[in-house]
Amino acid sequence: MRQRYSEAMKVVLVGGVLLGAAACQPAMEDEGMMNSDVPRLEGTTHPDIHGVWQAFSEVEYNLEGQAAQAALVLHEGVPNGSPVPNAPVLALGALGGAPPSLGAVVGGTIPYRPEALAQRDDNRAHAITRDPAVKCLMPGVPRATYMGYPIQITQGTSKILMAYGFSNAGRTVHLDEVDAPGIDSWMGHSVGRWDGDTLVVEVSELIEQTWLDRSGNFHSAGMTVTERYTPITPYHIEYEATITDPDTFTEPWTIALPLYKRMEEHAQVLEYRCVEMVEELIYGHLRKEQLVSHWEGDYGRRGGTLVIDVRREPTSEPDL
Amino acid sequence: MSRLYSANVSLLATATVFLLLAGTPASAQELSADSEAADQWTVPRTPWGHPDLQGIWDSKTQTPLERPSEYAGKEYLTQEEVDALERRTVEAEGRDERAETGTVADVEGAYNQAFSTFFATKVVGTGRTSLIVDPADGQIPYTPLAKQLVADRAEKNRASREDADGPEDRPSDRCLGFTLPCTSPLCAFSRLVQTPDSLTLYYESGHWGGAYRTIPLDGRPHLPSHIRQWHGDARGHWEDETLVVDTTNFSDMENSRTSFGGASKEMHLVERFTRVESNVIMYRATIEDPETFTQPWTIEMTWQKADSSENLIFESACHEGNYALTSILAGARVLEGAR
Repeated sequence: MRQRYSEAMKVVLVGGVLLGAAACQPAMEDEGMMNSDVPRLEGTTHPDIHGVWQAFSEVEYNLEGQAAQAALVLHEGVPNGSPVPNAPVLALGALGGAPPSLGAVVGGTIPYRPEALAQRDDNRAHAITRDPAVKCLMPGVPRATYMGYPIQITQGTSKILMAYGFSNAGRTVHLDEVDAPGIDSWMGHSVGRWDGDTLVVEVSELIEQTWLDRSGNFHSAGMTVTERYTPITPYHIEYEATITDPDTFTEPWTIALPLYKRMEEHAQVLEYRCVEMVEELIYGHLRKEQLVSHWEGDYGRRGGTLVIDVRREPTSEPDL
Repeated sequence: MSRLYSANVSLLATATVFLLLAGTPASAQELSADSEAADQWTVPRTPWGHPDLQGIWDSKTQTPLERPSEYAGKEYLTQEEVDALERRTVEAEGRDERAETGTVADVEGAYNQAFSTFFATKVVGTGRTSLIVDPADGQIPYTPLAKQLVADRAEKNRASREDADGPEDRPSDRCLGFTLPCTSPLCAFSRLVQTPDSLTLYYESGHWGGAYRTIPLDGRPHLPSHIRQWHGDARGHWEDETLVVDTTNFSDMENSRTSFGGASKEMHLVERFTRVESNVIMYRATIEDPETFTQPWTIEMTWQKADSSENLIFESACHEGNYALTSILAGARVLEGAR
C-alpha cells in the first residue's frame, strides 16, 4: 500500500511540476508543488479537505498487523486446537472476532524499548479490561483517525476542526498562533501549517492514558505526534503520523494509511454518545440492585442454548 | 486555573465597556446603531463571501430564562440597574459559604467563583430582564398539562435529590451532555468554524460533556424521522447577514430529565446568528412544540467574542474524569451497609 502510494505520489508531483512549468504560473511556484487533481478551498490556494472522511482499515485491531483472531479475549484451546473466544464475547461468535490486517507501521514493527514491549504484551493479555476505549473514553491522537468511524473535517480560514464519530471526541487544529493550554488533554494540542499541499499537524500535550489500538500498543505522557495529511485526489488523503516518545520507543516511528471521502449523498457524522451506553459496564457493580445478571440465547441445534450468568463485585484495585 | 479566572475578569471588563458604549441597552438594532464604532463597522466576510462568524464566543449570563416576578411588566433594565446587578453578583456575600457538612448541597456548593465557571455575573448584552423576548411577559407558554408535568418532575427531582440507587438517579453527574438551545453557563463557550457549505460549532461543556455540532448549509433534507439525536439534526442557510439553523429529530430525553424547558422530542428549534458588532453575535432561538407549549417562544442572547490567541476554550473531558459518580454510588452502598 505504502509503496504503491509513493509511486502515485511521484507521478502526481512530477505532473504538477510539469503543468506548473508549462503554464508559467508564479502563484504555483510560490506555493510549491500543487496537485491539480485536488480541489482548492474557495478564495484560497490551499487544498480543500473539508467533508466526511474515514479510514477503511483494520489497523485499529493491531497497528503492526495480525492474522485473524477468534476474539479480543481468548481462552486457551485444547492441546490440538486453537485458542477459543473467552466467556465475555463467546455469544457474539464470528461477529466478536478480530479481523486480519496488514498493519500500518512503516517497517512493520514498533521500536519498543524492552521494558515497554513487556508492558505492551501485558496490556494485550488484559486488553478487554484495560483498553480505555472500552469505557467510552476519548481515543486520543492518532487512534481516533483509524478507529473506523467517520471524521468530519471543518476547514475554516485559521482553524480546522476535526470531529470524530466515536465518543464525541474532536479537536481544533490551529493554523494561527495561539497559547498552548499547558496541560495534557485526551485529544492534545494541535498546531497545523500547510507544506505545499500537505497539512502538517504537530500534536503535543497528549494525556498518557490513551492507547494506540486494541492490542495494547501504548505510549507515555511524553509522546508527540507529527501528522501529515496529503490529498492525492478529491476522494482520498494519504495520512501519515510519526510518533516520538523516547521513554517508550528507541526511535520515532511512522504509520501510513489512506483516508477516503465518504461518497454517499448527504454523508454526515452522526452522534455516537457512548457514555450512557457503557454505564452498566462501569457502574453496574455499584447499583443497589444488580441489573444485568442472566442471559440465555438459543442458537438452535448448531450451538444449543448458551446461558450466561453475570456476577458483579467491587474492584480489588483502587481506581485512582 | 488562574488563567481561566483572569479571562473571566477580562471578559467582564469587555462586557462593561460594551455596555457603556451601548448607552441604554435596547434591542439589537438600536444597540448597534447607538454604538459610535458601529457606524463604520461592516461585518467581516470569509474568502467565499459569507459573513464571518468564526471565533470563540461566550454567551454566559446571569439573566434568567424567565422574567422574575420583581420585574413584571419591565422589559429592560436601565444602565444603572445593570451596573448595580452585576456589582451585587460579583460582591454577593455568602458565595463561598459552606452548607451543612455532609449534605449534598455542601458538596455541590464546594466551588467558589474563582474555581468554577458555574457562576455568571454579566447581564445579557441587551439589558433585558429575561432571555425570553416572546411572549412579551417573559414566561414559557406551557400548556396546562405540560405545566403540571414540569412541576411534578421538578418536585420528584427535589424529593430524590439524595438518591443513588444507580447512575440514572444522578442525571447531572453522568456527563451525558447539555441540551439545545444552551442557555446555561455550563455550555456557554463555543468555537465556530465555517466552510462554504457547512459549519461546525464546538461547545465546551466540561461538566456535562461537550459537543461538535456540524451544520450543513447545502440544502439537504433532514434525517429520516426515526433517526434521533441528542442535539437533533441541524440544517442551516443564510438569510442576508443572518445564519438561520433549523433543528429537528431530537431524541426523547424524558428519561434523562434533561429536555429543554420540558420540551418533547418533537421540539422544532430555529436559531438565528447575526454578527451585529465586531465582538457581538446576536443569538435568537425560537422553540416550537405544540405538545408542550401553546405558542412558539423566542429567547435572545448576546454572544461576546473571546480572544482567539489566548485560546481559553478547552476539551470537554467530563466522562473521562468522572470519578465522582463512582464515589457517589460506592458511598451510597457503604451507607446502606451502615444502616
